Amino acid sequence: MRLSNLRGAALFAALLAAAPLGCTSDDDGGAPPVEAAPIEAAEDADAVAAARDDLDALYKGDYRRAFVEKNPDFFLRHIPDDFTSTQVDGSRARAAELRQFFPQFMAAIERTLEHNVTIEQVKVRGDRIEAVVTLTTVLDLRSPAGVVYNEISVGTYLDTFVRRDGTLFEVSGEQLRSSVTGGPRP
Amino acid sequence: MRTRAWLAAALAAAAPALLPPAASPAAAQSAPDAAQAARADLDALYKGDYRRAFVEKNADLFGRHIAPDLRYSSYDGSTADAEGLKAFVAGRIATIERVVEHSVSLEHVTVDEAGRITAVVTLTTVLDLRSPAGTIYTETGVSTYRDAFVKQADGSLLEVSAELLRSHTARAPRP
Repeated sequence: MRLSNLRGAALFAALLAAAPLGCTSDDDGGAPPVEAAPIEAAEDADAVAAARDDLDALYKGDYRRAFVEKNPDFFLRHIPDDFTSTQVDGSRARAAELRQFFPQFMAAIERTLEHNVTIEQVKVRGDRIEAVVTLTTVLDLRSPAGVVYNEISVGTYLDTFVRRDGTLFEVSGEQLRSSVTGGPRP
Repeated sequence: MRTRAWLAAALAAAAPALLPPAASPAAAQSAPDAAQAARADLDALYKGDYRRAFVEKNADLFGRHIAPDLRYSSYDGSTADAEGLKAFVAGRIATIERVVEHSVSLEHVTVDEAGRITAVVTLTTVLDLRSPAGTIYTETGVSTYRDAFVKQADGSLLEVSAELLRSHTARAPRP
């Protein structure tokens, strides 16, 4: 199995890090307030904001630590048995394949130089959280030939989570687009 | 095996007008030098057989320019021999649904005393590929190689080595 085939949401999700999440406005230009949103909408907004915070904490927390500390368990403990991923080319992977692949991939990481995540379009549907996540990573990787090279990856995924006993579990990741640039270490 | 270089090399084509290297007035008065001739030969190869191999899905058009002792290497240290390369390219050709775009830029073309031609080649391709899962997706590749050739008695070029210097691949659903 080619390594690149499994570079799905789950994999890159684990590379996440401190990204700006949304933006705020300081505009106080005096425009009249818009009509107040219905209570339901406000509740939805609160749920979405809470979900975004949780995702932010996950990506900057366990997912990042897995790679920085080269400990796959930090990532894999958020991958349930029913996890599935789909790549742009239609290939699929399940939890068992990810659990096999992920530690191997981590072992190839020489250094994580940069990792960044942008979270968009967070939706809460019952106990499920969906988000469009763009991950940017810069890694030094050691090839099977023993050569250390540099790889820049930008991938966008539609990731879905569920909360079980207060912990987020990633149940699916759909790769929407990907870009990988490789070359010698500068 | 990091064969992207070879694949892209085989896809090379339709380069913008390839300008000869700047020449001094004195040089301009002389016959075309070896590097200039080599550049024209490379241009013809990439726009000819290397391109046709993929457009026509005929791997032999590519393979017949691969020297039996060719060596491929990548920035990640991976290597391949001629047979490995040809097998890979044939496999890739089988997945091509459509060649949307292909272009090549040739730089630093040199010819040594033994007649060996070396060039830095950047290949840009846009392909529709069919995955093993049956999904058709679009892949854009930009890769730079240091390729070397020798000219055979019949005037054709034989590629003797290829070194992948950097690569970029983007995948997305077909627009």
